[in-house]
Amino acid sequence: MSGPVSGPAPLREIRIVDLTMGWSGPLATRHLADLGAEVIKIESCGYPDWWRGWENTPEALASREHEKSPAFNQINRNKLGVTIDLTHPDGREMALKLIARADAVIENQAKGVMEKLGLSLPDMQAVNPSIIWLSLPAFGAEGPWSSYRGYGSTVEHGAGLPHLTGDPDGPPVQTHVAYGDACGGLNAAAALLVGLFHRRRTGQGQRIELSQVEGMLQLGVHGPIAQGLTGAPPLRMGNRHPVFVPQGIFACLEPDTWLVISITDDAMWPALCAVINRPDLAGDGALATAAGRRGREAAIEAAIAAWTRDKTAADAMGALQDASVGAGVAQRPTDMLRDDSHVQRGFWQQLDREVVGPKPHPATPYRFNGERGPLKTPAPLLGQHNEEILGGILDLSGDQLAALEAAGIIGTQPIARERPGKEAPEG
Amino acid sequence: MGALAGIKVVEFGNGVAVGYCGALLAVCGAEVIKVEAPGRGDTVRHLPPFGEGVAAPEASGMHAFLCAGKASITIDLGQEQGQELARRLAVGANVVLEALGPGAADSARIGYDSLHAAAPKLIMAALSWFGNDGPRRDWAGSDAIAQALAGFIYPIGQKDGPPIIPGGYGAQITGGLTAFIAVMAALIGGQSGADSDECGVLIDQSILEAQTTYTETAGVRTAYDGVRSVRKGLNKFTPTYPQTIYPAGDGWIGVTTLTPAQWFACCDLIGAPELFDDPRFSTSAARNANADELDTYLVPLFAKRPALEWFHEGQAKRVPLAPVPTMADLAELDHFQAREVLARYEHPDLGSFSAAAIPWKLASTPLRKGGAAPRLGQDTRDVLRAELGLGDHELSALAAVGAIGLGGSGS
Repeated sequence: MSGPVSGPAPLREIRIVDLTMGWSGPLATRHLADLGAEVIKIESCGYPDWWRGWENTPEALASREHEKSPAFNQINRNKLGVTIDLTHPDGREMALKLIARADAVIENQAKGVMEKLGLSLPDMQAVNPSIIWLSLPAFGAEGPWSSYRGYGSTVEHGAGLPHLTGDPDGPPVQTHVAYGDACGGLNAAAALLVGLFHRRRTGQGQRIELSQVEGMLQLGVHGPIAQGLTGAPPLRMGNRHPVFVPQGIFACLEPDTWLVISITDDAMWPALCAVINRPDLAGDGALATAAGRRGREAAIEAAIAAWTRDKTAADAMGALQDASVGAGVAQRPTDMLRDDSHVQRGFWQQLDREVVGPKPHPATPYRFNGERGPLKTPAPLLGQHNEEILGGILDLSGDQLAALEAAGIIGTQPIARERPGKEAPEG
Repeated sequence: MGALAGIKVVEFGNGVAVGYCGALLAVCGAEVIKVEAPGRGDTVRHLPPFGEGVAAPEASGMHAFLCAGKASITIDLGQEQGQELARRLAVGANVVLEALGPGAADSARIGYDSLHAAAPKLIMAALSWFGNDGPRRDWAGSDAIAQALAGFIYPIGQKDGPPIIPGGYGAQITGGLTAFIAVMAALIGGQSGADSDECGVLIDQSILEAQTTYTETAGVRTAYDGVRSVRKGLNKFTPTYPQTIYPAGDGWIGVTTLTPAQWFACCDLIGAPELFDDPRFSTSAARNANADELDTYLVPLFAKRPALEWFHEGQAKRVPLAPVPTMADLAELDHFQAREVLARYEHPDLGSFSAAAIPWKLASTPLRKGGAAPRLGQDTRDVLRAELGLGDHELSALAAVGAIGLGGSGS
């Protein structure tokens, strides 16, 4: 690793062996790496992380396309990368030696793959009785559907979340291209930290598993609560809110620009009326409470829309928030880099990486005593830390490493093979 | 026994985010004391769904879920005597969570700097919509506002219509979960030794920044390729298709096909092998570009059979399908039953009901599932006696001036 970088590192004594790929698992280990854990990411030249998104053509290999993925590069910073062919006995041996020196293993392989590789829990416990093993399959590691696969979209579908969004008489509405991935990653980070806390307290490792679908279900937990408590699901209300009246999304001056307004308490109502120049509404006592406004919500929405339509979304938001009225521009995801609050709070930070140069990264979404988890090193190039890890931690000599490379068990170049590509979701 | 047995948490403030963070700590075995304002209580107590015929603040299912296993005490943080009690509770805790609004903890004399002086190892997490500083520190927020500003809402909905606001409290749940990650990391850091000068942490958790997790990849990507996000259509997202929901013969089926192998298996499943050879749909990029045309074939085909039949047969062919269960279906599906996804929650006035339990399965330190939530202030007397050694006379005097509520009567 590079020289010391200041910043919070509460997990500096933790070592994680990371066999995850894509978005979900790597998001979990990004949180841990950002907070100081040593995360050793294992890929192989035959099966690099598919979030590298490389195409299997000579041209793509020559131009190092597998090192250019924005998604891969931002989710794998602060990690060390090794390539090990786990299907080779010598590769398995090396993996077990790393696991012997680790606190936890995290993986999101398909069901049965770890066992097939000879890396079952008993295999791991034989070399490290206190190892933690976490996996996060789409539908969970146990149960009738546990062998079923899914992407982040599948996870949102399977949790039933789309039934909680949209018009009362419209279809269920999916809200994200791969919601389940990121949500699963957050749940995995959280559960793994609980296991790590217990391990440091007692020396005891354990099996941890979670279903990404069940993690996703928590984001819409008001749904099962309503069903369980009242026997009926929550009413879908379009863009309205069950408590805040009005809440909606309003067209602004520029084409396809929109402002969300939420009147989260009754004190905001007269302030809203003042900003949109409708003292008549403020003076109408029947509208002083949310319950009173509910009956005339459409008319209120029309009054707001008449005001927003000749303002820029940013100006309208500023005018409303200056009057303590809840409002937020529906920004495009790709415009987040310019977001005022993000920029001023240091959310975006730059990290230079070979092949792609300096690029923005989202820093940790929390600050410890004012500081975010430091960005120390960019995402590893394929096999970048083979020598450092396999030589440094496993004590392999230069000759041994050369022999492993000659045998194709480790390496730094993807092996050309027919494998279907997958585009990384936009996020 | 839970992994966090012996960890003491005091939770101040309002809303789903801080409540969820505290709930995660509670199910892991921590002792969590929820401090609420006398009279009205946590704003969560006023969120639906409500039990029928029960008056707020004892009617909210959200409250019963979020507060299960916690103690509820009422303290008026606007009064000096109340502030002193809050301060004494906080300095005796391992973790303080607060969502009083930026600056409000300082005003109530339970800000981090003052607590840190008395309790140098204290971990305090402040949850707020926009963070403890920055240009929007004092702005008003909501789930919809945080999701809008995080770029989450813009891509949802019809191309030529308004974006659609997701139902529920997803931004706050995400904020609470993310704050929990930070709190757990700080607790592990605190295990490193009492001499560590890093002991004692103020965690600043912005719900907006937590919500940005879902969209940050798109923000980063634009720095590579300059492409701007689009709103493609209802249940349609770039860069692939299908990654959508179709009406099935019975219910709804979620369909995702990304790789050529998955697309081939999907065409085979629905009995339309000719679609696989159709150049308009041959790659996921082509399907993305011709999504509306593709729907003219797929919509009638998927309508032919029930969702669960498509699901099981499709998964057997390795097509990543999922039924889109209704909230009622969740209780009926064998997989969710086998995994005990739902647990029983209780509240003295609401009775018992089922809801989706916090789902992590830790073999040696299982989470508590479900549990009982308290009435407003029902534990004030017991907690202040046990934690601060207050006697009946002191408690009565404090209640008489309104610094605390002694519970049971909605106070």
